[in-house]
Order: sequence, then C-alpha cells, then structure tokens
Amino acid sequence: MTGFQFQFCSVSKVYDGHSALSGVSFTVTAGEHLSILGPSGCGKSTALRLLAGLEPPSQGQVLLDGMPISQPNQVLMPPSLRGIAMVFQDLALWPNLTALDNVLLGLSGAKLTRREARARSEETLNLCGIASLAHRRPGQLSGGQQQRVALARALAARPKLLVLDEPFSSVDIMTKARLLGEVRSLAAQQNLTVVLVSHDPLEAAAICQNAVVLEDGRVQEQGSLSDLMQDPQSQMLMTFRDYHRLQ
Amino acid sequence: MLRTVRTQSVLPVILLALAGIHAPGCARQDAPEVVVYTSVDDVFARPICERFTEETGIRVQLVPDTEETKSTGLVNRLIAEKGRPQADVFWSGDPVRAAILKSKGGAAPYRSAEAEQLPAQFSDPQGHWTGFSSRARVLIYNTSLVPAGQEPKSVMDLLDARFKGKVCIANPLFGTTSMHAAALFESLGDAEGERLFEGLIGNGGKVLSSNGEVRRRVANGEYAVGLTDTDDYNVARQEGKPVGAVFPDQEGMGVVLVPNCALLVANAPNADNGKRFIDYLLRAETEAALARSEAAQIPLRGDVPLPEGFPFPAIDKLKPMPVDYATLGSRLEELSRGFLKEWVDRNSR
Amino acid sequence: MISCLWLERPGAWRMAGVIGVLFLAALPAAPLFLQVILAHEPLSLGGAFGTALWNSFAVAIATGVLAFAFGLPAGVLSALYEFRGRAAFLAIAMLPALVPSFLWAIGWATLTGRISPAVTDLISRQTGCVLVFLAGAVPLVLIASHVAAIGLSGSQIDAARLAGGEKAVLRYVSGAAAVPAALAALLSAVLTLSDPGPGQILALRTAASEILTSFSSLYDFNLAGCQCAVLAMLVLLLAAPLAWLAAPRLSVQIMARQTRSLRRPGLGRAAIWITASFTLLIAGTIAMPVLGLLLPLLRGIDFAQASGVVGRTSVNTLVYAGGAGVVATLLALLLALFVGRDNRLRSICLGVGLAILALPPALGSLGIMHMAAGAPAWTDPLLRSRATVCFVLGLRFLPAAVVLTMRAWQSMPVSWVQAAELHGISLALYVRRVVIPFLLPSTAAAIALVALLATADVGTVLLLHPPGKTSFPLAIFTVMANAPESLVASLCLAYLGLAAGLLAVMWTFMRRQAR
Repeated sequence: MTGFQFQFCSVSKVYDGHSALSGVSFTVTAGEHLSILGPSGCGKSTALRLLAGLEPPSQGQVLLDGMPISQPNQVLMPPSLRGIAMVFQDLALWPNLTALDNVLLGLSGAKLTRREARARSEETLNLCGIASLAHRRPGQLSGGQQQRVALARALAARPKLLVLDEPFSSVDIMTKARLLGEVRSLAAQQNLTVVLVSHDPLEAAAICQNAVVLEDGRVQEQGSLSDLMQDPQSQMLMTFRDYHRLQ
Repeated sequence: MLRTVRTQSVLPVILLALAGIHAPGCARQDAPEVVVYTSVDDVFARPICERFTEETGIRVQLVPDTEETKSTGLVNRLIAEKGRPQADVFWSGDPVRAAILKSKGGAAPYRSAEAEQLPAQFSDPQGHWTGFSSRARVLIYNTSLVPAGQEPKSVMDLLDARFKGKVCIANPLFGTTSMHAAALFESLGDAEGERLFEGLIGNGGKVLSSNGEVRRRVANGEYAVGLTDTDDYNVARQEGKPVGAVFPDQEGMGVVLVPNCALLVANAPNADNGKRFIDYLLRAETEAALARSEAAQIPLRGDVPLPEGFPFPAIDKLKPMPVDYATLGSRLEELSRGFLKEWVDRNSR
Repeated sequence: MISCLWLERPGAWRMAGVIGVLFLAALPAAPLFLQVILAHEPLSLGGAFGTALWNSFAVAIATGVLAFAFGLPAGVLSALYEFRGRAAFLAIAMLPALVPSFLWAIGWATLTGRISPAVTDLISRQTGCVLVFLAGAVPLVLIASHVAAIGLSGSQIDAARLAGGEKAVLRYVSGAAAVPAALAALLSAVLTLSDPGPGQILALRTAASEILTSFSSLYDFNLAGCQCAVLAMLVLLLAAPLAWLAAPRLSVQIMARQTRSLRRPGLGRAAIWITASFTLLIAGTIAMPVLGLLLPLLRGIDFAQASGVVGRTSVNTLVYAGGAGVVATLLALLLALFVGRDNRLRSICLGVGLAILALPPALGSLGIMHMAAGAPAWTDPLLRSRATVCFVLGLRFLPAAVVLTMRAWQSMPVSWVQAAELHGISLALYVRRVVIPFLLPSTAAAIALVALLATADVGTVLLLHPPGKTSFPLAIFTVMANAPESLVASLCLAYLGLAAGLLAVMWTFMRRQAR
C-alpha cells in the first residue's frame, strides 16, 4: 500500500439552515486506524459522507495527498475514484440479491472479468467466514451474518480506506466482540487504513489508536486514544471516564 | 433466484398487455365496414347488424349505448367527434336524439329509396333522419293490483284517487320519458302539462331511475301503475309477470310513438356503406325482424305482416299523438332547463 | 456514466417533473375546463347542485368512515391471528373490488324489490348508496391494513404483547396500520364522488348524477365543466390537509423487513366471534347483493348468449384493464422518482391526485374526443385506439398506483444508493439489479389494483372505445335495463365467476411470492 493522506480542512456542512459540522479539521494517513467518536447527532456520519464524496461540504475543503477532492458545494473527485469502501450503519445490503451477488455487484465498477470478480467475491466471503451462506439473501441471515456480508462487500473492492459507520450498534455484545476482533485482524492482514465511527470509546479502542471527538458538529479534541482517555477534554470522554471510575 | 422468478411471472403479463394495447383498433383495415353508433339495446340491434353483414359482406362495427342507464352517451360522443367523425350511421332509439344531433350539425341529409313506403310524419322533413319501427309509451299496470275494468285509459287517470300512492314514472330528464314529457307539453300546452306533473306528485307518484325500474317495480307489485315503453312491458310479459299494458288516450290526444331513427353522420368516413346500412334498416324485412324480436317493435308500414302472438295492435289500429318530431328536440331542451329540471329537483332528494 | 446519487439529488427538476406528470394526468380534462374559462359566462351551477353536493359528500364521508371502521379491524385481525376460514374470508372480501358498483346497486335493488317495498325504502337513497359503495371500499381498507400489519416485524409485535398483552398488540398494530387504512378509505370515499351509477339506480341526487344530467340531458358542457371544477376544488380543499398529514407517514422502515416476520397465534374462543363478525361483514356487503343479482337465474340460465358476450369482449376487457394498470404504474413510478423523499411534493401529489380521481370520467373522455376530432388522422393510433382507452383509464386511476409505488420507493434507504455510488456501480445497472426487482412486487400490486378499478369504469370505455371493441362490463351495462332478467343474471354470473377466477389466480401468485 502506497502512502496517502486524506485531510479535512475547516469543513462545515449546513442542512436547511441547520449546521451539522462546523470548521472540522483532521487527517487520516495511510495505515492509520482512526476513530471518530461522539454522541448521537454530533455530525459523525455527516463527516463520513463528506469524506467519501457522497455530499459536498458547505465550506472548507477535503484534500487527498494535498489535492482538493471536495470544495464548497462541489465534489471534484467522485466517490468511486477515492478508493474508499464503507460499511453503513444500516449495512445497506440490497435485499433482493444473495450475499454473493451483493459482493459481485459491488465489484461491477472494478474493471474485472466476470471470472475474476467471482473468484474475488468467493475469496472475500471465505475470508469473512460466510462462504457457506453465499447463496442466501440478507433477509435469510442473522444480524451478525449480515454484518459480515457488508464487510465482505467493502473489502472485496480492495479499498485504500475502509470506513465503518457504527456497523456493530445493533448486535449483541458477544457478536460485537467477535466481529471487532475479526475486523482488527483483517485490517492488519490486509494492511488497511480504517476510519471507525462510533459512540462507544471501548469499541473504538478495540480497533483504533487515534481518535477525533466531535460534539455539536465541532472537534472537541483529537489525538492518541490512550492519551485522550487519560486526560479527556470532551464531555463524552469525561462522562465515560467518570462512569468507569464509578464502576 | 427470487428476482428471476418474479421477473418471469410478471413480465409476460406486462408484455401481453402492451401487445394488446398496441394492436390496431380495427384488425382488418381494408375489409369493407360501416361504423354504427346505436342507442338501441345491443340485444336487439346486434342481430340486425349480423344479418346485414351476412347479406352484404360489409362488417358492422357496433358501438352500443342505452338510454335507460343514462350513460353520458353516444350523442355526446357524436357531438364531440363532429369535427372528424368515426361513425357512419347513428341508429337512434328515438327521434329526439336524432333531432338534437341534427341541430348540432352532426347529420347529413340522405333520402333512402326504402323510405318511400314509410309514413313521412315520423321523419325529418329535410331528410336528415328517417323513422322506422316504433315503440310506444304505454301505461303498464299490475294485474293483481288493478282489477279488470279499472285499468287507466289516459295519462290523466294517473291523477285519479284510485291510484293514490301507487303511480311511478321514470326521471323525465332522460330517455323516452323525456320525449314523452315534451310531447305531452306540446299537446296539452304548458299550463295543463304542468298540472299533470304537479298532480302526479300530489297523488303520491314516485320518480324512479329508469323505465326498466318502472317495469320491475310495477311487476313486483310495489306500484300499481307506471309509464314505460312497449319493449319494457313486453320483457315483463314474456317473463310471466302479472302485468298488462294500455295504449293511453286512444279516445283523446293519442299515444306517443317512439320510432327508431336512421341518421347518416355528417362527413362519415364510409358514407356509401353507411347509406347501404340505412337502406337495409329501412326495409320492410327489418321492420318485420324487429317486430319478431323481444322488443316487439311496431312496424310503421301498415303492410308488414305482424308475427303470430304479437302483443300490440298494428300501426293503423292506433291513434298516435300528432307530434312534430322535428321540433320536439328544441322543446325538450327548453323544458329540461326549465320546468322539468326544477320539477325533478323538487321531487327527488 | 450517470451517478447513482442522481436518484437522491434535490433540485428544481423534482418539482418540474411532478408538475409535468400531474399536468399530463389532468390533460384529458383540460379541453372542457378551457371551454368553460373561455366561455366568459357567469358561473351558475344549477339550483339543485348544492343539495347534490351535500348528498355526495355525506355518502362519501359515511363510506370512508364506515370502510375505515370495518376494514381496519378486519385487516388487522386477519393479519395477526389465525382463525377458521381466514384465507377464504380474505379472498371473498376482495371480490367486490373486481365488480363494478352498478352491479351491486342492481343486486340490492332487485333483492329489496323481491322482499318488500318497505325494505326498498330502507335500503335506497343514502343508505343504499353507502351499502353499495362499502362493498368496494371495505376490501380496499382491509387489504391496506392487512399489508401494513404484516409488514411489522415479529419482534415489534412480541414487544407490544409483553408490554400489555393482546390489547396492547391490537392498539399498536392498529396505530401502525391506521395511516394506510385512512388513505385507502379516503381513496374509496373520493371514488364515490365521481360514480353516478348507484345514485341513479337508488334514487339519490348526487353531484355525479347532476353532472351527468348537465352532460347527457342538457348537453351543456359549460355547466358540467363548472360543476366538475367545483367538485374538484372541494375535494382538493378537503383532501389537502389529510394528504399533508399522511404524506410523512407513508414510508416505512425497511429494517423491519429484514427481521423476523410475525407468527399468527390462535385465539381460542374469541376466534368464533371473529369468524362470526367476518361472516356478517361479508353477508352484509357481498352475499345479499349477489343473491339479488342471481335470483333471476331461477327462471333459467341464458348460457349461450352470455358466453357469446364473454367471447366477444374478454380480450378487450383484459387489454383495457392491463393497459390502464401499466400506464398508471409507469407514470406513478416516474412520479415517485420525482417526489423522492420530499414531503411537500408527496402531499401535492396525493392532494392533486385525489382531486383528479373525483372528476367524473366523462370529463376526461370527452376532452380527449374533442382533441381527437381536431387532430389529423395520423394521430388516431394515439387518440382513437384501444391504447387511448388504456391511457385515459391509466391517468384516471394514477393516484391509486401513486400511493403504492411511492410507499415502495420511499422504503428504499438512501444508503443503498450511496453504497452503489461508492462501488462505482452505474445508474443503469443499479436500477436494473436493485431498484426494479425491489419495486416489482409493489409494481405488480399497483398494476393489479388499477386494472381492477379500470375494469369497473364503464363511463370512460363507453365514450372512448374504438368501434367494435367493447368491454365485458360495458356489455352488461348496455343490456341490463331492457334485456330479460335471466340474460342479465347470466351475464352477472359469468362476471362474478371470472372475477372469482382472477382472484384465485392472484391469490395463488401472491402465496407463491410470499414463500
């Protein structure tokens, strides 16, 4: 994996007069595992959509290796060329397609022959431990199995950057722990750069070394996750620390 | 897999529908044909059309309607299509509709040689429509409720106390009842006409939706007497219902006859075939066939033999009301906007 | 390559598209409305029109409220619980949706006439009209509530059951099904406004029958046009707030579909009461008028003539019904695309759609005929063919298809498109592989619903069908007044038989889809 760097430079986003992000800046570097932490409604998912190029910022710029790829009200580089794959909060699996077809359709923009695409899909499903469920539709799978399919679809595209938008919020703690472990080892194995959006610092700590904490659409603090935990400045991490002390 | 199954199940249905939609309206464009719009009931008109096709090889495309059910109807369609008509012939069940179409510029003059033996009083003097086989407006009564000898003899008898609360008529804004109303006003004058209609309500009379409804409600005994058409009465008679019919006012103003009318549509696309169809309709044989049908229509030619058991007297045994059919349309239009509309509004909720 | 995000992009194009499709839907009525506007005559509606409007709205409101009151519990109960005859009841309850209202009116009139004049007076006018319209309205509400209830996940039902037992389940599910049920009731109520048949047969002066009088007795297009405009404006005024309330609740959460579906428990003794209630409902709305329709068969069946009519008209009937379904559904899909997730546009579509539905069919049909008469002959395949009938019927029943397709469209989460965009999937491929298969069941349902409504509409077919291409309901309509009762009854029997057969095919198809 060659080095690259995504940069958020004073990015703001306004929806119908309501400010979702305001002057947000952070950097994601190749090989880094970064978590964007914050309570519900703080603008985490908005930040991800801007990073992926699904929406343009209202102000500021998103840079890739120093070149602007999004600027105010304009997406300069389309999402599919940014090398980003995402596991969505609701997983966004297409319900009428089987697990294999979900992964295969995800590869349709990858300029592979049909045989190559199929081989890579099967390989990724195998990697995610769901090769035997390849011909089931999402409705026929459990929550954890659906999450693996979504992960397989994202990984099969061989992205520079894997973005996870609270993907484990609706599974039980056992499944969540197992999935987090698997993502961590997959990320290491594939040498992936990961951005994980979460409201749970523990979940973030399972995968990421660094974090950006957002509150009310603004960056409250950022840096190494262990340093942040030691001396939190944000309301969220302070509450988390106090809660654990109480325990 | 599911996707494939669903696609396979639904696509043929969609394709079939699309194929059907795009199929041309007329399958055999070059075969000779005539387009006939008719307000005569399909069951009576269709056999005549089929026989015409057998004899001439000209296919009849029939567009039926019924005055009874008061659809927005063929006259509106003919008026709307006037600029570039589809129809060649309008076979009307009554002269009023034909007269209205003429007044709207939808009729072309055509005097058929076959019309020579038909009485001129039932046709348009300018030859825009020609009357043939006729129905008549009769008083239908329930034989179980009206004892022999007590039958009404005149429409004025409907005001008689012996029929209080037992009389019904159809809505006089529609169909042959509207024509009957116009004829009565023409014959009696406005004051007497209004007295008749107000008296009907004063005597507990009811306004029903159609002549068919009058037939049904009298036949099942809800009402003792009603005004309807001969063909309606004949249906009830053939079904064995306890009904009788009286041709009213044979001693006085006479019975209202409702002849069929054949009209050549102005700028008809197949005018020659249309003329042949009109010739066919006006033949004595067609009058005989309509007399044999369940409608039991009365031939206007005195020399057409009546079928055995024909339930009505021949035309020359009847005293028809002297009505100028050509002007009845405008009289009806005036009444429909005036007294009759107001009367109906008052007497139906 | 066109971006998949285009499907979710806001902009003026959405409003332009919505206006374009709604304009197309209102286009057939435009010539007559224009004629009214250009006539420069003082607006006069006729003295009795006020009473007629009052009667019409009274019948429409009673039909809507009663259909909601009967249809919602019936739909919810049949979705939630297992009881004896459940499947059969559902199938039979759907039958009236396939049969034109005038047949039920004749059925009631014939039946009451045979019983006693007192009963005739009881079941005529408002009562009779409401009874006739209920036969068609209850199934619509029932199916809407049933579908909404089975769309809920088993977990949601179990949560309600744990919280407060069966009462809580019924309350929760009824609440969830109330909006689609209310929309279906509103749709049924609005449909009654444009149908003059029952009012004419059962002696009630309604707005539709007054408009009919203006058209076919007075030949006064301007008066009829004015009356239509007033009716449409009133519907728009009344329907707009309801559409505004219902629009945001029209979409459903897709996640519910991906979880466990509900299981139907038995109800023990209570099941007897439910079975009894269903029997009463079906007897009241269906069995009685069917009995009235078929009683004359005791005098004999006119099989030969009836089968001749069926043979002559069945292909046309299928073409008109299927064609209308396809036209309405394609336009409804286009409208759903333009509306996207915009609540304001959704409300506009529902409000205007309901107003269009309230317009008498003659208005659009005569408008098209005026257009055709003024157009050159080469336009005939478009303006004077079976395709014209399909097109006008499709436009008329567009709102029914809009409700179904819009709901389906909005149940596709934005994340699907975003995922497709991230993976570089082309718009065409995404639409072909994901959107179309996902929408197919709703599309099929919309086609079927519009086809059913179109079959029952004889007014449009009467005025627009090409010579010789009549439909089966129209054939019954044109003979029912004067033909012998046994022939009319035979035709009705054939119609009911075909409707029941169609229902059986649909039922089998839906069961196979559900598996």
